[in-house]
Amino acid sequence: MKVIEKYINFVGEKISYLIPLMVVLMVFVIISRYFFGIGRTDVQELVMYFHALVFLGCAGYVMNHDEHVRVDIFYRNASDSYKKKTNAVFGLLFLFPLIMVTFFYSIETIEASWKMNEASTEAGGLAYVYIQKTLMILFPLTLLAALINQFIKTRWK
Amino acid sequence: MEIVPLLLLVLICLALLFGYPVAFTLSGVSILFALICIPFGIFDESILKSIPLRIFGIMNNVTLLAVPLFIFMGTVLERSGIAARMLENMALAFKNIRGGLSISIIAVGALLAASTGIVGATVVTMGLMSLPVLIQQGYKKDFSSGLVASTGTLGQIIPPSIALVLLGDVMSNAYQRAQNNMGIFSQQTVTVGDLFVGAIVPGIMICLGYLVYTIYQNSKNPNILFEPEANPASFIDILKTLALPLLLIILVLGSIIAGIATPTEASAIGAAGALLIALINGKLSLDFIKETSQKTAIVSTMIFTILIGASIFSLIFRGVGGDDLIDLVFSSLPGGPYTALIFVLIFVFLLGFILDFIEICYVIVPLVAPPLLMMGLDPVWLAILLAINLQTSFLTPPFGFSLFYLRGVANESIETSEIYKGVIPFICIQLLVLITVLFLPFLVL
Repeated sequence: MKVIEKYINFVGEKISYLIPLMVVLMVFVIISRYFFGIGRTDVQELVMYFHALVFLGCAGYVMNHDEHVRVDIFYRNASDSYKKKTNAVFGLLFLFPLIMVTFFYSIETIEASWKMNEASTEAGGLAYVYIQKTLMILFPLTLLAALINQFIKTRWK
Repeated sequence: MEIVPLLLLVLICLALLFGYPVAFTLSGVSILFALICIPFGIFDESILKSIPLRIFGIMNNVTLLAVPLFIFMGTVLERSGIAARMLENMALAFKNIRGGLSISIIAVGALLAASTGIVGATVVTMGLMSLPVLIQQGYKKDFSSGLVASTGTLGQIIPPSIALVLLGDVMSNAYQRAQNNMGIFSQQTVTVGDLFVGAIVPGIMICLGYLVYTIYQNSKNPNILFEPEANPASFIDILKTLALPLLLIILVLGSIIAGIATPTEASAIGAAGALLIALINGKLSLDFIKETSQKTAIVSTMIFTILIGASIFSLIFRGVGGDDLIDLVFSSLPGGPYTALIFVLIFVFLLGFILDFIEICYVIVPLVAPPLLMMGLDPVWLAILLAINLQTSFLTPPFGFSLFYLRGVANESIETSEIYKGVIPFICIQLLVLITVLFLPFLVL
């Protein structure tokens, strides 16, 4: 049962190492441009890929840690059973439709992008826009995993 | 037909109160609403197809890359114990001035705001470290808690703040939209850098306001412990320990303001500099990197999930005719742009009680800013007014975020009512600055 949770956390923790890497690559881009006059659009775009990978791939991880902001005027002081019910009911009512809609419409967009081998429109940019667009699918997928995990973990009485 | 978008807004407001994460409530309610509207012909299903385009737009927004990088810079500085050392050194620096401790807190608050900019972290650190000492040294409990809670929010307004990065992104889109609507072809732009520059004078005004009030309070309180030392720490010594963070602040802010670097580039340099400072302080280790990276990933993801949720909301809100609703509201307001502006400021201030800065930035500002800009208001000025306004609502009882953080770390002997009482003068200072900027727009330009 714990497999999903472990997996979500593993992915989230590993992905977060991209952040110091993004810093290093950005500094490289800046030095290259300001001191050597060489624009590195490709590296700059790679940083954008990593950046997107972080916030799309960690969506479920953050949900697992209950770090998504809530309007908690009532929620803060509510009982555990209220919190449990709220998370279960609205998980199905609000989050599930979001997962479905982002999943199915993203698939269309991603498919179209693969078919045309979409590349960056910038000079010197990366030719892998279709891979960047594929990252979008991580958002519904990791959230779905977190939602399933939440349902498994909830002790129903 | 304006009833339909209004219904969506009302439903979202009600749903948010249940306490389910804002990002999912915003997008979930909107999607359900849209699905119900499709059979009635009120909503065009093909609009939903642009959701991936919106997400991709967020993924490709270079300005927003500054968000995780600034968060990383702040987290690294915070975890390397810099706040604690600043507090100690500043207290030493002001030791030979009566009421020096309270003044040192304002100085540290402003410096932390310019370096880490994380409201919660600043309030918690200062609440844990300084609040007990302040009270021990004879400062009043209400004044001390008010001082710590309000200096902790300075990170919202003093650049480089995440709030201003987000607001800058939203404002530049709103400005473009406003100019499109007016049929202007040679369009002007507004950047995050413009907002940083614009925030400098109001930021200094707020700090000075705090300072004047603190000095006044100290002169009224005879109980403050004051024991000057014969051999005070020399200013050079203190400057040495502050030199690195100060240098970093000057480097980051200076390069943006001088127009040498974009905020995104400056944020990368800032993050690298923060890592360097952690290295010099002997804190840099694999565990340290792991901890700060994870913290950054979590906060950054939390913010971007709201951006995704809010962009789905605004797509659907516009799809059911939300712009007509906004136009109706604005055209039914009496008077010119100023009435509309004041109406918006009050509205945003009230929303600030329940919503976070990010949500207001991405849900409310995109709706209300274009009409205001079309009335001829300056985008930078509008953004700074909104930022001061929101910073104030962070402080306002009973729902101000800063107050919650402080309540969490403050000693049991401090009553919640004392915290509330203590922040009121600071709220008045904020409102005073807000009104001054409102009447003297040249202060931000």
